[in-house]
Amino acid sequence: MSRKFTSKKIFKVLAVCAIAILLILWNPNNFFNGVRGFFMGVTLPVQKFLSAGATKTHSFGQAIYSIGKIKKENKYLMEENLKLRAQNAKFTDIMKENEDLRNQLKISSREEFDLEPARIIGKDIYNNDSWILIDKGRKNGIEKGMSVIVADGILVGKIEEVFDSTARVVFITEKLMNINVETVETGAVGVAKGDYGLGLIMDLVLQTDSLKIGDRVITSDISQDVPRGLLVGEIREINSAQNDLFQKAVISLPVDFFKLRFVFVIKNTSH
Amino acid sequence: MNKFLLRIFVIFTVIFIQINFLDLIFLKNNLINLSILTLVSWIVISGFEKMWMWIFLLGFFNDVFFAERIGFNILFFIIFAYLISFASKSFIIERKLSGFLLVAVFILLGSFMGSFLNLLIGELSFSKEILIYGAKSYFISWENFIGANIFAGVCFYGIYTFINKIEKHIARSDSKLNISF
Repeated sequence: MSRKFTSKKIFKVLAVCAIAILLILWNPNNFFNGVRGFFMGVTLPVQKFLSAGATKTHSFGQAIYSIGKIKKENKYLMEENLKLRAQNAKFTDIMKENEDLRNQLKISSREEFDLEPARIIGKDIYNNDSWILIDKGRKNGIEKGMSVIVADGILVGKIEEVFDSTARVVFITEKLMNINVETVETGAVGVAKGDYGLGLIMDLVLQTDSLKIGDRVITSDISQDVPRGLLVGEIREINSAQNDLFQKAVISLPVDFFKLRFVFVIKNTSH
Repeated sequence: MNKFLLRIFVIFTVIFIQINFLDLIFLKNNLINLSILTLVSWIVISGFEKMWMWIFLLGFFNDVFFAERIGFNILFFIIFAYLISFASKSFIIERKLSGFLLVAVFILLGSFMGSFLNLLIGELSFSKEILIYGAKSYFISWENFIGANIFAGVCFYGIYTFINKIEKHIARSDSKLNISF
């Protein structure tokens, strides 16, 4: 009796496993997109409510955790403020110069982007941190492939999947991401590749090109779908051997992707 | 119908609390997987025979919402549920302490396997980089690991109590139906 019971159970397990393996190999993501979109749309208010609660809970936790640090931080910020005021005066002049140069090089000003602000309402469940869910979708003019930035032009990812009211953004650190980049200081050209969510590698840089630690890496105009001039990061480490055909560099990211709460989707990618 | 709606409610509650709440609070590393805690609770409370269809649905909806490949969570959840059912038959019923320890091991094992299998199946390949990344995303520090697992234990207690109440309610409704027939 017991053996019969077990074998029956094993049969169920095997049958379900067979269905699951077939689905994995078939990979019918497009087939289930309608179902996914429907549930995403229906549950959007609940998702927004929960993510707002998470943000408040996280902020509260952070506030409690940082009470001891506030005094120290305040002193540091006051000093920083003085420095920034001095720098601000200097940058006003540089900004004007930058505007003139941009006009000459026909590069879009960052203010010219048609930006769609979006709130992050979900995150990769298995903590691989390869994607986030935002609260803007097809209804807001979001399309697959659009670039996603934070602050004043820091590239964080691209739109991978669009639903009616939500969209999935894949980070630039994802393995399959390839972005054409160049360095601001030396103009070295390469391809930024994701490193399994751990960071970015600038690859395919010619040996004749010069790379320096601290060089800023920006998107180049080779990519059709990513606007030129978006900041990707700074070079942290250079791996170059004379026998290698290309140089490689590790890029450090300017923002902590874990801490993102809001992002901007660039709707007009042509420039 | 009531039974169906209640269990679907459990599945959706767990999924949305995970993606829209827990994963946004535990930013750097998240070892708590509510779906696995739910699965363990279902098996311990009602057994594999009664719950395998619901575990299938739990896996399916996890796939629909999160996975790059539909089928991954179904496969993982059903095998994991079978293993729990197999092990719990030998330990949990007879001895309370070993039962408790076994549940703790299930939760740890489930989180660990979930992190790695998702990477392996997502890539459909096996490499050193995947292993290193999997290890890094699972284990940041001892503090984080111990803290997260203590929290997972607290969450398990909450989920177990919640599911136990729902299952009791379903059992009461079923017995009332039987009597009226």
